Amino acid sequence: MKIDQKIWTAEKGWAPAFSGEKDESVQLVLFFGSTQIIKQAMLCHEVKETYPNAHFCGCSTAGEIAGTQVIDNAFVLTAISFESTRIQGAQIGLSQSIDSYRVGQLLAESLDTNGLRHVIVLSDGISVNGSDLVRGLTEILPAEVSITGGLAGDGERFQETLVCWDGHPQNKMVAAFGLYGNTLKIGYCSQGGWDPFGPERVITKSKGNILYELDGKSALELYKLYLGEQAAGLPATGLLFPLSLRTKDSHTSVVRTILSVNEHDQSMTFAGDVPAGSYARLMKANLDRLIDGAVGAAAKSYEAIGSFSPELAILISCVGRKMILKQRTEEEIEGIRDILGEKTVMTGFYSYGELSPFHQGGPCALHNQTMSITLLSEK
Amino acid sequence: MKNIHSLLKRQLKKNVCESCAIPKDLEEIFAAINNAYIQSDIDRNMLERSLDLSSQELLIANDELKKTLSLLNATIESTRDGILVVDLKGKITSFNKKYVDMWHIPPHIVEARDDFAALRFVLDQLQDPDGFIKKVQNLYAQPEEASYDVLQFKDGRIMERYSRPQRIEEKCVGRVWSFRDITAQKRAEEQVAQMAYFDLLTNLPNRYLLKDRLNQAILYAEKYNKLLAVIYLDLDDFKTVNDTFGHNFGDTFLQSVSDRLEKSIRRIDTLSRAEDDHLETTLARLGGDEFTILLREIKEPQDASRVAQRMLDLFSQPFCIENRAIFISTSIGIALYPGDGRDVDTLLKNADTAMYHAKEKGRNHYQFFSEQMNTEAVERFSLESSLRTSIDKGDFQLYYQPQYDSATGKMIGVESLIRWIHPEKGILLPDIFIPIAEESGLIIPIGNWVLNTACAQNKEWQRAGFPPLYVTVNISGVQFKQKDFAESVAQTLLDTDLEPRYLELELTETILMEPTELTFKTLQELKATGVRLAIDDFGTGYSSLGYLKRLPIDTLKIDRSFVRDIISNADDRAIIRSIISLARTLNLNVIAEGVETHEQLLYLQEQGSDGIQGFLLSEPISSSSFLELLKKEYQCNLLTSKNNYQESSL
Repeated sequence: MKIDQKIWTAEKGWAPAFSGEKDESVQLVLFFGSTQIIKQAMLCHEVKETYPNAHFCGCSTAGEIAGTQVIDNAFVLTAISFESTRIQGAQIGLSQSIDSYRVGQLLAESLDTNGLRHVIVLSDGISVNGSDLVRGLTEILPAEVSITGGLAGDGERFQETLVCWDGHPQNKMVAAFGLYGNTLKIGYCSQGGWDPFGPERVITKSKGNILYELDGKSALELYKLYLGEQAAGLPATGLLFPLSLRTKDSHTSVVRTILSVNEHDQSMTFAGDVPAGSYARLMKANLDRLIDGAVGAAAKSYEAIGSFSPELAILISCVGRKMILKQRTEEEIEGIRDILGEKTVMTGFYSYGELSPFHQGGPCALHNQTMSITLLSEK
Repeated sequence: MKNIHSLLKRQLKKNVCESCAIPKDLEEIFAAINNAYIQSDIDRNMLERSLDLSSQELLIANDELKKTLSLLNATIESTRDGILVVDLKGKITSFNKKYVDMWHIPPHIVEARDDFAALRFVLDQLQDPDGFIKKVQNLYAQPEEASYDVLQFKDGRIMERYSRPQRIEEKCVGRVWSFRDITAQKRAEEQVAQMAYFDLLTNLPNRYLLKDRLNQAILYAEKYNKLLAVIYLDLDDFKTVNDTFGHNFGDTFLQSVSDRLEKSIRRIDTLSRAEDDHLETTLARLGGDEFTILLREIKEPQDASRVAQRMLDLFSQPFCIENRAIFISTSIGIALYPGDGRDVDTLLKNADTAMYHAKEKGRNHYQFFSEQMNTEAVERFSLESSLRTSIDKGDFQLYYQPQYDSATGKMIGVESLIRWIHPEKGILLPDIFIPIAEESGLIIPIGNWVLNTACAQNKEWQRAGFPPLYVTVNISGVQFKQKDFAESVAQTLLDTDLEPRYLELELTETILMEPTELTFKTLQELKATGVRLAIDDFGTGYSSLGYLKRLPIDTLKIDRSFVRDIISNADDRAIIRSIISLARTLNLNVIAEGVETHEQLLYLQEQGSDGIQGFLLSEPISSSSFLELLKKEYQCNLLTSKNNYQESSL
């Protein structure tokens, strides 16, 4: 692979700057940026001009990752030319008639399965039901095809997220592209670092990814109680208390965070399903544990790909971690750098949700509050 | 810098300068540090808040748990069941006091909380310790199973034992046992069963049990073609007793009546049906002053009327209650199966109806349901009463039929036959009244009279100068069974001064067929007196030949049924030949009865019968006519005074 990375900020413009020459060898441009900046059509235009043959895929974020930098209000592009790997992608919008599950199915159906190795999904971050999306995808795609990706972000505003594949970035959009070819090596892992605390509560009333009641009482009230003064910052501050969810029969749990809150019906919308009858516990984060989590994800994905320094690393970390880590956010990226090595080009973003298997070979699931890493290498 | 954190302020103050002015180029970093401090505070506060809230929730949860636990304990202690909870490894996790008390478990075992120790301890108390242990072991091996069984204790207690697995969120973690003492309940059930079938006041079977038994009896009678009788017994004017002396007295009275009836019924059973349990008579109380008697198998309707009469007789004695002597009579109705009905309800209804007839007819009475039965009963009754009177009045006469030697044609003996000169009906033959006499026991005085008269008459004839003959007297089985029969015969001979060899007693084959000690003894005694013994109606019974040769008898009398068809029936001829041959072998005399034709006579002479008797020669005739016959036979002169022999002296 040949990878180029450029960052645009309002202060400095493009760094490094464009040479003015077209690069026809680039097949894929990944871009991540804040919602406002992505809306500036001018930037996208410039990018498309420079890489006329490239597929153009990216989304809005709650923070951009370039190398070991975590930047807000920037535009990060990563231009990739593959040696032998082929790309094919599509985008499908969420609507009244097409729900998350159906979108997943349709995206999966649009991809040729011959030689398909891995699918990367960038999804809307607010209107989507992440677990349904994953279900739709996994139902259609062959079992040996791995899926990773993330839900686009909108800073801490939670108002609109933009996603595209080759089109112009739109709200309520889901994009996915498949990577084809035998030479490609893939590694991935997802790890959190949050700990549940307090009593286990039963979800007594919910619908899909909307939570109403825990133990017969309003879930929203519970959150407000625990948030205290910070309750004013909902839904963003809701990320401070993700839920650890365990279904009745299993002992493994998933983490879910809030996407939005509705005062009228006292409901809280989560990024993925919160099934009634499941057991939920509030979670808290410890900075060191979070960083350990990121490092752990790096170590496991490194091992998974074959314990060598990969060419490209796509890091999708949850906005909730950024909210806790705050000034120390970059520590988790640096920790990853330490594991992967200096040569690896790192890009990614802070998301409203991550899509990844728990470990190599497992089925894809929606996660929250994790660092999810996808490693790609052709050599 | 606005909103400077207090710590940073202090640090600046301490380490940099008093006025803590921040140089411009360091503003950004200090702002970052400040933010970090502020954020750190916020984070810590949030954490502390979470901790507080969690702790509160924990306390509330604990409280709830305490309440639940307290409720659980109260519940577990308030139930009348013994409760025991064990985990999968046999440790007792919970129990109530009832459990400890029920099984008498000593404190040290309770404290040890060891189920296996407790089990070992309680085994002794059970009737089936092995079965008990096996069950427990099975359930330890299958923790998901529920169980139910009933335990029998050596001390008589009966306990239900339930168990179910104990689960926490669908996972099995132990077992809950509950024990319930149902001894009292079982006893109550038994008592109810008792009350369901037995009358409370008298302990006699009640209507339901009676109906049940009647049903069974009908099935039996149907299958084996038997008769049965239902007798309804109602106390006359019992209401008066109740009204006069009160209900308590009335109850005691009924108990007394019931006792008397029951004792009598039991005696009937003992006498007649000792061998057959299932044929026991049932006396039941239907309610009020009504009783029912079920005679499960009767040979003839008279069996029922005899019982009814017996019941009537029971009431001839007063009932003594609380120092009062109360006379009461009863009205009795009899219904017979199958004649008066083939099912329970019909028989009961008809017996009831018959009882009402009895009441109408004047009480203290029994009535059959069927008129014909009643007529017959009345007739028998009247015959029986007249029989009694006739004995006193001397309405009997002996008739005589001669027996001849078949070879010589000479008269060798004379059979005496009784006749009853009934005031209304005229001359009645023995087959009409002898059975009644036998049933009522009147046969004894009648038999005695016959014996006496025959002996006296024979002696009379001897005194008159006629060559001596033996007189034969028919003896009834009832007479023969009398313990002192031989003695009475000896006495009669003495009284009449007749030599024993001139008296022959005729006993039917049936009487002699009962090979009892008494039979032999009586025969020996009779033989010892010197009288002759003959088997009457020979060939109609089933004597074994071996038995026959042991009997000390002299004569076999061939039954008239064989003689009747000699000419036409080869079998009868064969029988006669064999009887005669048998008699020869055993050295017995043979007399053939019922000879009516010459052909019969000739045949019998040919075959060698010793004696002949029958209409051909002479029918039974009165003593005066026999006297004439004797005269003709012997052509003697007789002393006239002896002709006036009076025959009726009883």
